Amino acid sequence: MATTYTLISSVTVGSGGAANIEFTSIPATYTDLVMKISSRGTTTNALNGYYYDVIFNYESSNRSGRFLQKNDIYAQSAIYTLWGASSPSDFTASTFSNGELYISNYASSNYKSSQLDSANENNATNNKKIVMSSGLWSNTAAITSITLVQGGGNFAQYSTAYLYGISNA
Amino acid sequence: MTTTYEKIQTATLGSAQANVTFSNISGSYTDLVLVGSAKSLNTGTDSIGIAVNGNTSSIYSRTYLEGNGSAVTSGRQTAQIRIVSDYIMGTSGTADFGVYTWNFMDYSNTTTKKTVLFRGNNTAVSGGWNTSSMVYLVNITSAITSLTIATMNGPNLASGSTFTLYGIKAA
Repeated sequence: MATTYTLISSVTVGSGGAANIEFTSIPATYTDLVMKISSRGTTTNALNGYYYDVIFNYESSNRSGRFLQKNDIYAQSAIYTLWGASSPSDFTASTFSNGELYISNYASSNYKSSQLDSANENNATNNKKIVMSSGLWSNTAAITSITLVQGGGNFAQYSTAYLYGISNA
Repeated sequence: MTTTYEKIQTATLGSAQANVTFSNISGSYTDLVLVGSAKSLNTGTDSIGIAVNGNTSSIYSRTYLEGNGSAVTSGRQTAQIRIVSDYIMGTSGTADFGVYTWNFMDYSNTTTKKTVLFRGNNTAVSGGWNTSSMVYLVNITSAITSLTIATMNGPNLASGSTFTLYGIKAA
């Protein structure tokens, strides 16, 4: 029986943090990609420590998206590129957000559609979020690298990301 | 090592066709995951409709939460005739096939009614709900053995649409 769900690579952020989490040289041998993300920022919620961007093949252009989020104040839908929720540094210590990024047909010659569901929870009264984000990268090239860019400061130590390939062969 | 996530069936449309049917689904898994990427040949926007076991009577109900880039909506509907996604692209607009996932929980038991979790993403549909999250109840206790996937409005699913059905095992 063919293995359909295979770990490609993983990243654990070390001491001092890291501005980006990056996966490179992604092989085109799978059908879809899934990334499981646990993240925390080194800056506060007010300094954009609450989110990370997703960039394919180092191309910041040709990205579009929509998102739907609910925090402890309001529900909102808006236009923005693909993004996920981090836990900012002013959240309860040792709390990390959870996220799952799904990219279908990442090696095809179509534009690349993706979804990113993420949430941070604080067990306190800060601005925690549930975010559902939809992304489109208007490029026909295969995705060979994925970069997560922390919105403010760095990803904190112990943030992790695991990239899996899913095969329908 | 036991394989817990297996491909069951897959379809990649080399030309437009009215529907995709995954039939004779084995009951040997715990849950099912369906992943789709699709466009319609309808001139406007469209939706994907899934009939479970070929059943298109009013056995489907849903609660939904959706956004379109400016507004948020939520609600519930009963007596639906399929599991319906919101929205997929028609023939106008960009080449966004979107990402659509369905999770069918405990699909093969013959005691409980079936619950389905859906997520839909399409950034290019104008005037439609681009980011969707839904839960469906399928009002049957029989095992799910087939899924028939079609557009709700258009004549056909477009060439290049893909669907893959995976089985997840707890044992």
